Amino acid sequence: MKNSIGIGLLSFFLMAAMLVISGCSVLESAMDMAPGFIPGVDKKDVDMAKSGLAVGQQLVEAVDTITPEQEYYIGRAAAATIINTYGVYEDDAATLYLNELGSTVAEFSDMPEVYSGYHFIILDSDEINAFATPGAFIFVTRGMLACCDGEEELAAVLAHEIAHIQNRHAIRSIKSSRWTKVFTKLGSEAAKQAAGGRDLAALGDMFEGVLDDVTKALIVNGYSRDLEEEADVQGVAIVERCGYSPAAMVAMLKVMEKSLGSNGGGFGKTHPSPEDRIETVEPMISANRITRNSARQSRFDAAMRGARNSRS
Amino acid sequence: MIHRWLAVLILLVFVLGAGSMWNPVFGQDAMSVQVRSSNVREKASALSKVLGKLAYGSRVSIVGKPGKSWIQVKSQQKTPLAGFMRTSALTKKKLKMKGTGASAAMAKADDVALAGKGFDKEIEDAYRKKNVNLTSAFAFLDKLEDDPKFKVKPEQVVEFVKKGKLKPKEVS
Repeated sequence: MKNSIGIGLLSFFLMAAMLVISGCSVLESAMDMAPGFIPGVDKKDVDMAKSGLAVGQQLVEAVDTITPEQEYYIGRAAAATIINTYGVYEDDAATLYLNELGSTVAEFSDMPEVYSGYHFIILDSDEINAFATPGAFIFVTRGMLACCDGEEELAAVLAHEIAHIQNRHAIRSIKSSRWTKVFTKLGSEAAKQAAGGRDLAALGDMFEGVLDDVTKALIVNGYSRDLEEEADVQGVAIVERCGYSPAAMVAMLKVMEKSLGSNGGGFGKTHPSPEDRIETVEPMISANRITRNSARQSRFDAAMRGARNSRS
Repeated sequence: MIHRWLAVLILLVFVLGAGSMWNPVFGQDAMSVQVRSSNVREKASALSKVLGKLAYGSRVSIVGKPGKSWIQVKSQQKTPLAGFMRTSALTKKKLKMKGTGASAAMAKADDVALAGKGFDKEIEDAYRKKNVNLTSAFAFLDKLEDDPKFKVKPEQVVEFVKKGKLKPKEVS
């Protein structure tokens, strides 16, 4: 009998878990039938499972239903924080070239259209680093540009960042506890909003919380090794679709490996080592040589000379 | 008794599994533009001619789905625009402003919060007001987004590819 109760309880909670994962509200009512029908399950267990179901569904929906417009506003504020931290390298020719190259690379990604388009910005820092905020604001430092010998390598850096965008890694870095708080608060706010009013202070607090998670993931903690590998693997696929040699990703990582020896911050802090990253992407690449082209090299050199050579 | 419950579980897994295989694009005939402005192209190609643009919230009828990245559409306008749009520019949701009063009261709390009534320009304005140290950073972002010289048009991408002698391999 004891065994039967255990199996009954286990079955019931497995059923609840499956409902959470599937988000299938139609079958939720099946749980109401469980007491007296499943051994060892009473009304308290049903309420507990239903409460878990509600929170679980909200968390799944939160990340999946956040609109590109919402991502854009979170991303703009995160971008402002990054600009405020590093400073912008303002050079119109370099910025235009970076935006032309980046927009071209993005066209061949799995997320070519975002709410307000892709925007690429050079940060005035010797630190080797690059960031992609939600809403597709992509940053590369002068230190990172110095690791790129040509357009091919820079395309690889941008493709890695675009892969973070297409996987919504920054949005997924928002803590689940944050989403729980957001939904609990918004549940009670719904009536006020329905009446035409908005609690800007409460929404502002939530916005700051979300922003805090995103900027911490981008600047301080970085993503997990798995997410970085995912961005590298997809980055290689994107540059290949554009028509660039995927070997450019390895070439850039090799320069970075040398440079990071004397500059351990930035990428070194928030990314796996270039050596490990090379190990991940090298098996994907058939030709080890980069096919360069004089027209591409000329436009890269002309636009990036200043940014790559200046020191702050 | 145990076998009975195992059978129920297996049945549930089967039902839920079948449900999760449902493709949101099929079984519906209209979608909304979920980006500020999206290109409608002549062919399902990043380098194809742009026939026109559709603004946020515009509804399109689905004509076909040639691949993962593209949807063949016809806009629901007086003079319809027909062509191909990116999957990432479209959503199955209706993106109408929710307004106030009874219609908003009927909306789910999460819809109200996260689909047009959540983090928007009003929230950004309040955040900017509170964080004056970010004023010049936001001003730079405004300049980058609004200045036509930094807006990369579709024809610029075509030119960039051509001048750089790139041979893209597109995935439909």
